[in-house]
Amino acid sequence: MEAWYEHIEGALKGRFDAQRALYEALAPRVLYTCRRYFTQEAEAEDAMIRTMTTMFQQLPTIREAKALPAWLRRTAVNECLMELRRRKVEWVGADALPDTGSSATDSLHDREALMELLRQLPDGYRTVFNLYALEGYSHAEIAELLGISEATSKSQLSRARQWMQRRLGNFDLQ
Amino acid sequence: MSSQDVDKLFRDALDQGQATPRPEAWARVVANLLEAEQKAHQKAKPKRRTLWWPYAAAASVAIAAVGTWWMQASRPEAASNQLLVSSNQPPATSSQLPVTSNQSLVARYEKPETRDQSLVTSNQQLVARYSKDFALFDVAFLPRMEADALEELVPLLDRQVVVAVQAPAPEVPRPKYLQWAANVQNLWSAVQEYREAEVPANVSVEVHLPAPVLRRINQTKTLASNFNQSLNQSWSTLQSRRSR
Repeated sequence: MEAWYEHIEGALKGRFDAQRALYEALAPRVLYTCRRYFTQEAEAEDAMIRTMTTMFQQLPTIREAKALPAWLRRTAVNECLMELRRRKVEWVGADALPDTGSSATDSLHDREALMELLRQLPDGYRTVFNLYALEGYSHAEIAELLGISEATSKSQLSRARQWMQRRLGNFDLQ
Repeated sequence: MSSQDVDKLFRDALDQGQATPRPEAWARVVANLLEAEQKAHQKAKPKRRTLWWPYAAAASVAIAAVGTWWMQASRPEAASNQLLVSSNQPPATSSQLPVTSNQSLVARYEKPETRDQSLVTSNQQLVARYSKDFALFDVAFLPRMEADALEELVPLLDRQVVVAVQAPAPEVPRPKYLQWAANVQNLWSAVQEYREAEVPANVSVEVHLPAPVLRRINQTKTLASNFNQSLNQSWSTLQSRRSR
């Protein structure tokens, strides 16, 4: 059983140390998820903080404690989407894809380099790519979440992929 | 590289990762939770219909009390009797008389009928009745910020603030600040008045608040101490990370 699981009971009883331990165990995963949606670290941290606050508020209502990480991930994604919507991000083709990317991908196996590459995408492309490739949403679901058509979702994803392929083209997949 | 390869590459690399948050983030989570809790608490308070007669009754009692006090205070022989005065002896224990923090301001300024030894004794008891709550607030040492925070916590109608004075002897003349403090409305002004007045060193001024207000202040203190604790922990975490 993972370390966070044993702190649930104490956190539910309102024990400060258990709540802190639960936070320490789960916040890094949430922050990592949020970092994929924003270019600025501060924005990702804000989304993580809102997600963790929601978690502590909703903790008594979560029936299956084992499902907490999955619940957290969904909530984190929703928080990120809410923030992007609040900022009135235009999902469709508002920003051109950058012509030059950084030389981030010195190693395809460097996760941080791939993260940087992902974060170079404009908000709209990055969001669709994240939701489809990493969260596993269908185009119909993405269309509903972002208020766009399925065709738009598909084209955004396709263009994001092509851009990624160009950036990754010089590297050999081992 | 096919498009599916791109998806797989990112999924494998970025699906399950961890990023260490800054230590300050935990303090912000706690602050958010406290804020939400306070908002929920405020929402949960049922709205009561305002009744006019309790205010009218309170106003008339207050006017009568102030009038009585004024008339008695204007007589020089009676002036010192108004003080809640005791000798330097330690006050009787508070268990002798039950503390009723909700008692109104008026009751505290009843004029003793005679000025003799029994008066001092009764005043000692009166002081002792307050002493249970004395430990909480001694305005003389109240910093400006705390006085202001206290002001905000005490709604206007709840301000049954009583100032009691423990003086070395009944002969001590009534100082200016006490006359003013009899109808104290602003705690910081009370503190200032007290500090400016040249009073004997062992005179102390203390403030009494209604029981519900005291409870709220204590709750706030608990929340604040939890928050400080979390900040300290965040700070120590930061220090330990830096030292590594």
